[in-house]
This record gives sequence, C-alpha cells and structure tokens, in this order.
Amino acid sequence: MEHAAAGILGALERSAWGDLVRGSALLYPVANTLHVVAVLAFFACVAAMDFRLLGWLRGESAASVIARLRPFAVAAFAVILATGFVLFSPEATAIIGNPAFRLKLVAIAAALLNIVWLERRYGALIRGDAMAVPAGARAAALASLALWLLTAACGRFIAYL
Amino acid sequence: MRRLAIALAAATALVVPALAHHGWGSYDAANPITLKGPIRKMEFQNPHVHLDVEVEGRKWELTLAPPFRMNNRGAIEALLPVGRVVTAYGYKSKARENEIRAEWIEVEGKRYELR
Repeated sequence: MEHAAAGILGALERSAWGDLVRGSALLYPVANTLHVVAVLAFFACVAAMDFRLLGWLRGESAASVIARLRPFAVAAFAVILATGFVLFSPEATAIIGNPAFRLKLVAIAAALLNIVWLERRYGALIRGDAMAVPAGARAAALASLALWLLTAACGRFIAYL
Repeated sequence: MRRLAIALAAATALVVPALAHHGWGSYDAANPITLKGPIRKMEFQNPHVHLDVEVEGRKWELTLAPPFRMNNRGAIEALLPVGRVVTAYGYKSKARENEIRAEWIEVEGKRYELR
C-alpha cells in the first residue's frame, strides 16, 4: 500500500503540474498565503458555530447560526483544499512522510467524523430550532475547536520536522 | 470507548514510523560554516532553491530561499549558472550530511542576504 501511494505521489511530484508549482515564483507563495487566510475564515465560521453550540453565544437558535455560517465554512474549506493541493504537489513524497503532516491528516479525519457524528446524532434536534443544546452536541463542539486548532498547529509544524 | 482506542492506535501507527525517517528541518545554528566552490547543480524552485557546490572534492548541498525571495533580493536564476563560483555562509544540517542552510551567498563580488 505504501509503494502504491509512493508511486502515485511520485508521479504527481514529477508531473508538469509539479514542475509548474516548483518553477513559478508567484504561484507557491500566493497559494501559501491564501491557504492561511482561508484557514482563518474557515475557523472563524466553525468557531462561531461551536460557540453557539456551547452556549457561549445566545440570542439565536443554533440552527439559525449554523444555517448562516456553514456555507461560508464549506467555501473556505474548498479554498483550503485547493491551495493545500498546490503546496503538496511539488514535494508530495516528502510531505506524506512528514509526521506533522500525518498527524494533521488524522486530526482532519477526526474533525470531519466529528461533524458527521454531530449531524447524525443531533441534527434533527438542533434543526428543530431548540435554544438549549444537549450535552453530547456541546462535547462535539469542544472536540471540533480542539481538533481544528490541532490541525493548524500541525500544518505550521511541517516545516520544522 | 473501544472504537476510540482502536482509532488512536491506528493514528499512532500512522504517525510514529514517520518520526524515524524525518528531521530535515534542524540546523546547527551555534556553529556556522563558510563554503566556497563552483556550482555543480542548480534547482531554482519552490519551496526552496538548492545548489550543489563542490568544495575540496566533496559535494555540498546548499538550501537557499524560495524563488520569490531570491528574485526579490536580486539573487536571480541567471546569476547562478553551473560552473560559477559561489561563497555561502550557513548552518550545517543535523539530520543530513553535507547540507547547509545558507544565511547569505556571495556571487560575482556581491553578497545576497537570504534570511
């Protein structure tokens, strides 16, 4: 499995696309900058939704806050993925072996599974426009904050390992 | 709870082996060195520009700045052809033999700061 992955990533790295990202003076720094800005925008939306679930913000139903912010979070996440792919491509085989990057992938997977779980377990209840949020959903909101912050820390640390 | 334990074990299995193979980011900042020799290989690319230089018969790899910074500071690609002699001041890698991270380079009588 490792060899197959190394094959695909090696091909990506050696592709014309990989050459383009390595050779263009502007593309890589712009993607890097946009990646960080998109992360801030993403986390702002996610944090606001999590804060509402945790009861740290009041006045609007959780359903209303989520309905308004989720589309922006999704859009920001799309930008993160696209720019992340630009950053990944030129040295894919090196990055996939980086322990900080691996932990980052684990954190992202956990954060996404957390969202799925929250949606399935409490989605209907929250969309019922309840003002109070059950304890399980609050726990998921706390996990969300922790996991996305861990993801950001891992991302920064790739350069140091 | 059991599924969480399995997930954590899987995560550890993914991350820990990578720790054994990695560590290129550490440089010995306490003991800087200066190298001078002709360029044997040049890679003017992201995320870092790399030069191979020959110093007293040995090959050294120089890790420089990203292309955007190199251009911004005047150390453009045309300045660094194979064969040209370059002086580099930097720090040896703790993880890899004969690799340094260059703080500055001198080419054609001019110094280019890279930090």
